[in-house]
This record gives sequence, C-alpha cells and structure tokens, in this order.
Amino acid sequence: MSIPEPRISFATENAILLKFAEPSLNVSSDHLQGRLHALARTLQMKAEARALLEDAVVGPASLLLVLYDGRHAEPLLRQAEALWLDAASLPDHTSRVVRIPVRYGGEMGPDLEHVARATGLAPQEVIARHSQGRYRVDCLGFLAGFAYIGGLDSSLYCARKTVPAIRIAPGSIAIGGTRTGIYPTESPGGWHIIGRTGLCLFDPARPEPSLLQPGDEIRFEIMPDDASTDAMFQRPEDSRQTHD
Amino acid sequence: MIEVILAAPMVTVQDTGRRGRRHLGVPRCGMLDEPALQQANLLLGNPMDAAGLEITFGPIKLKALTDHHIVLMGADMQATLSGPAGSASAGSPDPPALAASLPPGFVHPWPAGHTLHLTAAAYGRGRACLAIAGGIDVPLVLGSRSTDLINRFGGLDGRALITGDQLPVGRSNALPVPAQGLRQPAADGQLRIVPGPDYHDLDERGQQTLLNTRWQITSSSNRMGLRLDGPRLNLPDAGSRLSYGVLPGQIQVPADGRPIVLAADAQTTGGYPCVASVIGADLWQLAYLTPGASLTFTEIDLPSAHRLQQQHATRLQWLAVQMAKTHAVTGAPSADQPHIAGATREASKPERSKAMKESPS
Repeated sequence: MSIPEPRISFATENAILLKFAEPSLNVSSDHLQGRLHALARTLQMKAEARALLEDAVVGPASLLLVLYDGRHAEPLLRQAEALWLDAASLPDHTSRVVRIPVRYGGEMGPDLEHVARATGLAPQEVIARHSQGRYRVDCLGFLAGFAYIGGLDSSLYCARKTVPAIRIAPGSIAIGGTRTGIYPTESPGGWHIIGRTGLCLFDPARPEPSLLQPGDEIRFEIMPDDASTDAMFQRPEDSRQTHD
Repeated sequence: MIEVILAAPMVTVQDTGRRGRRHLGVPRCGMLDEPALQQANLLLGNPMDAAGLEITFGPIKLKALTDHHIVLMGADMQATLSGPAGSASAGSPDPPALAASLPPGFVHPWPAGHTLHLTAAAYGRGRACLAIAGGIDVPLVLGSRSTDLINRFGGLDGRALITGDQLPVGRSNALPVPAQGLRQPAADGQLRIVPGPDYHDLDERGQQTLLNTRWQITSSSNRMGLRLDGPRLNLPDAGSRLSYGVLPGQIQVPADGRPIVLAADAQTTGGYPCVASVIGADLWQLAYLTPGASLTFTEIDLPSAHRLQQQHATRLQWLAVQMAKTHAVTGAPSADQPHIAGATREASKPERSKAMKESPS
C-alpha cells in the first residue's frame, strides 16, 4: 500500500506538523492511521527521541510532534524518517475490541427521532445499523478521552446541529456528520445524541486514563432499558456541579 | 491553609501546566502568565512550578489560617491586608487604619488570621497571579496541579474556587525575604508571530491584513482562546478540513474569517486552518489582553523566536541562581542586579524570625 509523502511545517517554534492528506480530503485510511500511531508510540518509547519530544499528537492523517526545544527539530525528524521508511521498525498495533453497552433512544438518546427523520429511517433501524457497525478509533482529541471514531454506516450520516446543545451528559453516544463519538465529560456539543453508555471514558486516576485507545475496534451493544441493567448505567459523577 | 471568605468568578489553582498529555486529549492549562508565577515562586524560594492562584475578577477576600508569605504578580488588584479585627466584622468594610496596601511584585508576610482583600473589580487590566511560599498543595493529577475547567479535574475538584473553600498550602523550607521584589514587564499587545502550517493559504493581501490590523479582543474570549474582531481573513475551505493537533499560541481562522489565538485551555485538536503562532516568549501577554483591548501581530523568523526563547530561559536561570544565593545567605539582595528591584525598597527589619516560625499547614 502506498503512503503519501507528508507535508512538514512548523506549527509553533517548538512543534512540527506532518500532514499526509490534501487539506480538503475528508478521508483517512486505517493503514495510514495505524502507521502514524505506531510512529508516535515508537518515538515516545525510544530514549533518543523521548529526550527531545514532549508529546506526539496523532490526528486524522496527521502527526504533531511537540518538542521541548524546536532547535532540535532536525535530529528528531531524522529519527522519525528512518522509522517511517523502515516498515519493520514500526510494530503493528494489536487491535483490541472494546464493547460499549448502550441504551438507545428515550431519555438517554433525545436526538434519535431527529436522526431518524433526517436519514429517512425508522428509529429502530437507526439503532440496528448503528449497533451493527464496525468502528475504529482514529485518534483522541477535543476533550480528554474523546475518540474520533470512523466507520459509521453512510446511511446514518447526519449534519450537525445548527445550534449546539448546552449540556450533553457524560457517556452520550452521538452522530455528527460522518462520524460517531462518545462524550466523556459533560460538555456543550453540536452532535446528535442517540444513546448513552454507563462506562467511564476518562478517569485521570487510572494508570491508563482513557478507556479508548487509537486503533481500538469499537462495538456498540444494545442494552434493554430495564432494571436488569440499571447498575451499568449509574454514574457517580452525575451529582457533580456544572461550571462555565 | 487558606480560606476563601469571598470568591469572584474564575479564581483557579494553576501551576505551569499539564505537559505531554495532549495525545489523550488533555489540554495544557496552567497560569496564563507563566513567567510571572515562575518568578514569584523563585522570590519565595519555591520550586518554579509550584501552584498559585490565577485571579480574573475581584473583589475577593482570602483569609490565612496559618502564617504565610505571598507574592502578587500581574494586574494590580489593589490588595490590602487587614488584621483579625477587620475581618471579624463580616460585611462591613475593613477599617482603613488596619489595612496595609500590598504592591504587586514583592514578597509580603501574610500572618495567620489576616484577610487579604483584592479590592479591584476590573478585568480590564488583566489577571493577577498569587504565589505562596510552599505552593497551593492540591493533589497532582496527570502530573500537574492546574485546574482543567473543561475536563473537570486538577486544582480544587476541577473547578473554580467558591466562597467557603479551604486550600492546603505546602511546607516551605525557604526563608522568603519580605519586601524583596521584581519589576514586571508591561503587556504592550504587540505579539510576535512565526508563520504556521496554513500561512500560505492566505493570499498576500490576507497576510498583510493579519500583520497590519489592530485586532480587537471580543467579549467571547477566555482561557481557551482570544477571539478577535477586525477585517475578515479568507481561506479556501476553512470550514471543511481534517482536524490536526493544535497548541496554545496558534492563530486559527474559522470559516467566518475572524482569527482566534489559542490560549492555555485550548482543546488539543482543531479543524480550522492555523496561519501562524504567537511565540512562546510573548504568550504571557495573553493574561492581560482582555475584552476591549487590542493587539497587533509582527512576523519574525524561526531563528529569532528560538533566540528569544533562549534569552527568556537564561533570564529565569539567572534569577534562580540569584535567589538561591539570597535565600541561602543573608536575605539582602545585591543592588546592582537589574531585575531585582527589592534592594531599593528593602525592609529595615528582614523579619526572619517570623519566617522561621512558619509552620506547615
């Protein structure tokens, strides 16, 4: 598989951005994404690179390398290039399957009806197609632990809200444009909420704070909205105050 | 220990920020005027990254429950200190006779039972930074004590302070020297920038507009970003691009053509073109560029940005060495150093006995 040459530029005097796609090309390939994550992880593990590298942020078809001191961009880029050209040096990500139990519709998914109308599908059909999809985490960003999840069935594409909702509950499962996602924290947002999970997406006290990792395969599983699953949907932080 | 007697919006615990977690979606946060906190910490004998308070609005009142030393930096919020008698009569103004004024930039003792009153309500002159010997001792979360207001962790329960909060203060082994101080630079709103990944998507006229405009800071600006008003900057497909990793200082141009300067709390990825970035050495100014103020951008090249960064680091190192000597030897700073203004205003009594009695809270 051929991988395009990146466009390399300074993002700030201490950070380099590698962009692999045309600016308006709204696609990303699993293969390229996998290689980018492998490159970011490998750089962060190699002592020689880690000494220069504060952070490595993967985006869709891009990698932002944040340096402690931008004057060391040259040696860091040389290491990155050597790894990139030697396919064997970048380990394949062993993909996990993460199952997300979801209560769709009703109070948990207030925008399900809207998505059904916008897509011309019955609400039950929206749920069926969303829960049958095969998804991959392309990258994390926007909020702590928020995953950009690719693989949404094209019949479920739905333009974002014109006016964002002021308060979206943590764990909300949403559709925005061509993507689906899960809000880890209570926040405002412009995506359509079709369901909710009780899983904690981000906990800074955990050794690995983010439940979802780039490359993970995601399966949404339909949970009945009855007493048998109540325990899975209780959230300790529901009582927390809001601050704006 | 400190008690919040009267809070105002947006008083938060901040240190030098949460680094190296952007790949998890975790923003930097931290004191907007980071060098002010670092310098205040050095004056107090703290590690440079000890946590303090960032104060956006007044008036606020804080009461020391144990003996402390503090340095106020940034906007002069007309701080006064009043004794237990003044603070006992809640609701009534402190008797002026008991209120001592505390100029910013200097070490001040803050004895137990005394109330620190930041009287200015204005946000117009920007934010104030309060550093305290020992540092605000909230738990480290992902390597930092900074409050992440978006993701709701760090600082005190991930939120701004409210009336009645109690803040733990760490143990200080240093002997801060009262009346020792630093001159602070004034924010002039002239921000130096280096071109960013999408600079060349601006046509020549757009580049001239970016550099020749006095940009107005709008009221929707906050710790996430400064939203600017002025002529529109037009870029092709500004609204439909792939997101990529972004950093504080970067200048984004959304589809409406009005630039946003990303600040400490900025999210980790963004889908708008980034035309340039404010250099690290000028980022502190964002603390003082508040709605109603204006700013301009001046382009410099990368080597100049790196040189300014090096100068900034060298100055801090020099101050760290000077302060380490001062705290170790006598408490009398030498008079010939350009950055230590305290020599001219040195107290007749160093008050070292009081400092030594300072107890952990």
